[in-house]
Amino acid sequence: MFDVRCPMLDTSLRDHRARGVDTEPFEYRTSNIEYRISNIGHRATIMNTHTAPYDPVFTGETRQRLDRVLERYPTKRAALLPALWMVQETRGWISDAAMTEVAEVLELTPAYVKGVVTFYTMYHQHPVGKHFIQVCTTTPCNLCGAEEVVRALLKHTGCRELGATSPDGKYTVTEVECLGACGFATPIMVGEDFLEGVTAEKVPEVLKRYQ
Amino acid sequence: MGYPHQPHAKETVVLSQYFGDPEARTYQGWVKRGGYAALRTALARKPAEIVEIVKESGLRGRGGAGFPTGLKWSFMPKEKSKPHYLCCNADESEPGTFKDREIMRWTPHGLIEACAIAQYAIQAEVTYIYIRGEFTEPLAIMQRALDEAYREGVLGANAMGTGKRLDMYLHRGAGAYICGEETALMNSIEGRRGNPRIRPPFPAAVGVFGMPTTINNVETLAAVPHILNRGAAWYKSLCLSNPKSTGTKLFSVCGHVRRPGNYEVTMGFPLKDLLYDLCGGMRGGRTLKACIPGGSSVPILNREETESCLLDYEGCATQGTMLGSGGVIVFDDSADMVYQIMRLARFYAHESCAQCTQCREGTAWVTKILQRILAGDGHQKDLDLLLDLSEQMTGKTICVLSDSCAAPVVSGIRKFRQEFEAYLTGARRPAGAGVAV
Repeated sequence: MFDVRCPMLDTSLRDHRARGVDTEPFEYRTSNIEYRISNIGHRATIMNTHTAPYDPVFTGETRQRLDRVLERYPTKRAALLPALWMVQETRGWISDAAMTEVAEVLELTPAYVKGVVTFYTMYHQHPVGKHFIQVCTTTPCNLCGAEEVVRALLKHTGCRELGATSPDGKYTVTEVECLGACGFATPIMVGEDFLEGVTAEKVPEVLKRYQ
Repeated sequence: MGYPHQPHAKETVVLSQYFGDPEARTYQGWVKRGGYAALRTALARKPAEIVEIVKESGLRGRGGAGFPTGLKWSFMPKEKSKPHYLCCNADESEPGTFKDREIMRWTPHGLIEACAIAQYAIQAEVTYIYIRGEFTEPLAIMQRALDEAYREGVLGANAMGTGKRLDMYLHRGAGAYICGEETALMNSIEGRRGNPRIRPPFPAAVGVFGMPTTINNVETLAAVPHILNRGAAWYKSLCLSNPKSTGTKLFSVCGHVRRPGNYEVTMGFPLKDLLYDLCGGMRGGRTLKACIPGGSSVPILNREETESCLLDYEGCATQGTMLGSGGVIVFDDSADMVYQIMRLARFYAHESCAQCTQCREGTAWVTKILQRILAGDGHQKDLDLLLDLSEQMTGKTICVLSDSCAAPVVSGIRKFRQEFEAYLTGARRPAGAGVAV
């Protein structure tokens, strides 16, 4: 069991007040691990209720891909960000066990790897929904109605709040700071797909493509 | 060309000539459009000659600081005793800016050519193009173009058949605004947390992997092949106001304008014309209230200042702001400035690397105080407190992220004080989505 602290400033004050505190837990299953998530204020507790043996990522073709990446840099450490991306592509998130594996492969310490993982916001430190949705709500998009897009997404996905996964395990919706497509407000990312010009009205149509 | 719009007569199209043209993305298409000719001529010259041409053109950094590019290159050691590196900064994350994304999406070979020229000029073997993790499409396009360039012999052990080695790799970021800061970017390439480094030593002496390194923005580099093809004198002649600002610049206009997008104009172009002519003015017949001309990190301009601002490094400085990265954020009279400034401060609080106390604490407290004001719980002293905090956050940290947070707050309070006071006196209550009642 370990704790995940959500970003200190993850929602605007108004949303926070309107939302109140949700303490009701919910459960969902991924391939071989069962998670129980309870949202208490800003803290989410994840309990690994079934400990499966760790299955290494860097074997076979993935290992060869990493070896090719290593050739690009004079140090092994430099392949850390690419290696973490490979873990996330394969597993959907980066577990403590995966961090230990990456540390062994690149001759670093697990603590060092964790320090890097926690610095970068795109690495998931806990499982997320099948479709991970990031909505840009920084000033330029905010001017063009990004917060309405967030509200529509929360409503239509069934996610109870930002950062929480919907009960069916399909969606996780988060706010993100500037996606770099300010002229095409509001940009959202669904997994690796980058969508532009999303409005609150278009949200149901967009979600139909991601079932 | 203001993709996705038709080009406007007042634009000077150089970098954006092939935006919207899918054929220009391929190697064959790029060669057909005169691509890789500049690289060929560059490889036939001495590296020092190329540095001289770029110096002569007056090209300055387009990422925000506006440092002369040729001069930056000339800081690299002349006698090479260690490997040299070039880093291309494609970590475009400044709110309001989306120009590098279009350069990579439409002219990937243009950027590869530009990097190769710069790499040769500073005698580097390897270029790392650092692309932010969210740019999945530009990443895929750039990777495809790089594979093509290797296959066609443009890059590799025998680049363009000259026997010179030019290697180029993409490095994907993972969601950190601060990695656009040059020393943080180097740390990120090395597989570290993206904390900026203290300077000196400067990157030209001790850069990525401890070796001499030059870091340039995508747009800066993209201008280099054009300078080599058409001459430094031509580039220098592209100037409408101050001779210290030359060439063209891509301005990404967003917010409450009728036609947001990228527009390429000559340095010294009036901001007023950009907003009212090229972008078609405000949406829904509203009036302009404020404008941030250089991405979220620069001071806000009010309407009068916006209408008299000239878009070059000196013109913006005259109005008390900066050209920055050229991300123009436009606010019309419906915008709630207090809410939007809070939203900017929240951005910096989220993106602070937390290395320096002034930044870690300052950005978070500025956000909290602004949220308190917005909720109707502000004190009369809060504005003075914000100004005092902002002063403590300026010029005291390793990088300028904390200064960037202070700039919109200070200029916002100075220019839109009545809006802050309306919240403090209870004359205005919070409304939805940052819209004033």
